[in-house]
Amino acid sequence: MEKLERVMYVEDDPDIRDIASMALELVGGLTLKACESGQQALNEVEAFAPQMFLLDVMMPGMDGPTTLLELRRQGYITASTAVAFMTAKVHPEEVVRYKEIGATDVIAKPFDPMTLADDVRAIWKAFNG
Amino acid sequence: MDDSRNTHALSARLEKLSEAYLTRLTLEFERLVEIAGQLANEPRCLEALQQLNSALHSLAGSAGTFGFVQLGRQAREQEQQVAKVLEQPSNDKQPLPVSEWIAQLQSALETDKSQKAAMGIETSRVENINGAPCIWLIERDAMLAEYMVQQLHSFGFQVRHFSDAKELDQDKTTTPDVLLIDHRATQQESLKINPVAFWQERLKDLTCPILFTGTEESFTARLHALRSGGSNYFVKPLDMIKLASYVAQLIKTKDTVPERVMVIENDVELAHHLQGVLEAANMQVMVLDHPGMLFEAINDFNPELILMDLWLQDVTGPELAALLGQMERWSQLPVIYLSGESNAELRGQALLKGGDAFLEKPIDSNLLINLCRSRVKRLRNLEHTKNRDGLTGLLKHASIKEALQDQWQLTQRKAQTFCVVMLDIDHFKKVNDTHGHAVGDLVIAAVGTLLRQRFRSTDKLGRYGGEEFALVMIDCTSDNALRMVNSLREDFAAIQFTGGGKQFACTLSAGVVDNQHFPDDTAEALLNRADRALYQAKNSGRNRVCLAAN
Repeated sequence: MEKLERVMYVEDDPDIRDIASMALELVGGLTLKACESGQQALNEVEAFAPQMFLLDVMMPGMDGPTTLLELRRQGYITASTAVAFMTAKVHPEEVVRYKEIGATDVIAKPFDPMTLADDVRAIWKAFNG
Repeated sequence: MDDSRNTHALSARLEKLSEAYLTRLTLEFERLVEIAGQLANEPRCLEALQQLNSALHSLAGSAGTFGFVQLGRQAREQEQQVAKVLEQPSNDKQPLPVSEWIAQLQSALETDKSQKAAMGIETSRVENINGAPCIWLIERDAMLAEYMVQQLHSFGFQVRHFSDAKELDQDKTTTPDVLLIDHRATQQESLKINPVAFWQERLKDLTCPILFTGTEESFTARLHALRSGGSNYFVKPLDMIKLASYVAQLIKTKDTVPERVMVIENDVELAHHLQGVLEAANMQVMVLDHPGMLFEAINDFNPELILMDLWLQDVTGPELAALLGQMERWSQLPVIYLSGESNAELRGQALLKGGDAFLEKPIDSNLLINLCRSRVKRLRNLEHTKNRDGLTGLLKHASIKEALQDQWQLTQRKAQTFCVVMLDIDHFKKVNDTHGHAVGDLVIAAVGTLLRQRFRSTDKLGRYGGEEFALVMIDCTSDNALRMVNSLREDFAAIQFTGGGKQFACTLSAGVVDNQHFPDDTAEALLNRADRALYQAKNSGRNRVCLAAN
């Protein structure tokens, strides 16, 4: 299994972006590219070449699901790219819907900053397992 | 940097971020106040409602991460209510009490500030509700786990969540009342090789009932769960209301009363041997020496099963069985013959006249105990369905009225405070009209489960009709009754139902009366007072509990 290093993270809320970045970089030792919008992600994805995407679901303009579809259409999400949504919606039916459009897994918000990186790595491991 | 210094630096940074977030919260509250002002002028303004929804959504998703757990929860509840209103046709939109909500959010924030120690969300709220049954949940999907914890909590269970089966080893000192496991809930390799062996090994020290969950509905999945030690298997997506009801029943049946068995046997020594065996298995046993006294003895002892010899003095076993069959009260009573008779034809004839099974002498003790248990269990289930409402498991209309009458009569002889509660689901007709009767039935069943779960086994709980419930709370003051019914009301409002792919919640209203304030009232009059208090609760806005006034 390829080791998980490069993660692209899209979140419009600056506070959440800060704390998640810290959790993933400092606690998790990942190389992170944090973007404030789906558009920024589309602009920077080529140069960064992430192994995994973390997408907030509800964002103004381009939401998480749309970002995913667009990334896939442009060829940046392949069979070896993992995608996790982050959302505050807790209903299992929502999870099923996200998985149907291609999400590997879903991370519940609010997340625990101390274990976020573990969750991300666990999703990566399950995805490659 | 060594680990502890690292952690220390980290928590310092986390603390800083959390302080920064607190500043932002001030701005968010200002924004909410602004939106509240807008909605006060124009309660149906779509734009303001959408802004409110998005502000609450952002709070719900972020507050917990920064350690403001209560605030996040509160915001989520409110977000769900706004979402509901957004779905209503624009002319019918209910005005929302936004100013009241802001006050609730502020008080939640204060609670968080005072309790804030650790960061992050606690999925397993270890609020120790005194004596509440404890479920251990092993589930990898954090989101589903949170949902399940919240729902099970609403039904009055304590829940401890583990995300991997290997964490079970951490705590060997306590045991749960029920274990609920996703059948794939571990990262360990041995699960993939032989799941049954893996779970058998993992669960071998646990004595509580074990339930498995999984996404596959297949013979193999169920068989694997069974062989792994599970007493049932629930398919995902989980129906939490059914699951909670099942767990509640599972826990309740653990502390049942002993089975009552009557033995009619010529051979006195054998009779006393049987008595010893059954009593050792915690059953109550009466030995009847003279079959002629059967009718007196049976009314006195009220047995749930009869064990008798095929040949007695002056009368045969099948004759006695036939006599019992003629009396309505005893016609369902199970009868097991004890006999050395190995002639199949004779046995067949005996069974035709009455009686359910044969036990051959010499009698195997284990077989005897198991047979008695299973027959009594079946009889109890039958009684249960006769007096209890099938949907809720509560007493039927006539039985709850009878229970109230009994209690009232008892207090005429011996002073005791009790309360009568009438309870009704708010806007239930709308649930049926919008989501159909099947979903409506689920809502009613949820009230039943919640009642059985939250109230004491001495309280009398009944489904009075439709969506209306009546309770008799024994040895209980009106203060206590109000507190308990209010907590039930809050728990019920927190349950998420699903209808036509959409989530919704329901509320209930209740009226409470106690016998102390109305010593001259009959049982019927108390019930009427509770009913009037219920209507007062309905008329003053629903989702509340009213006490009958003097």
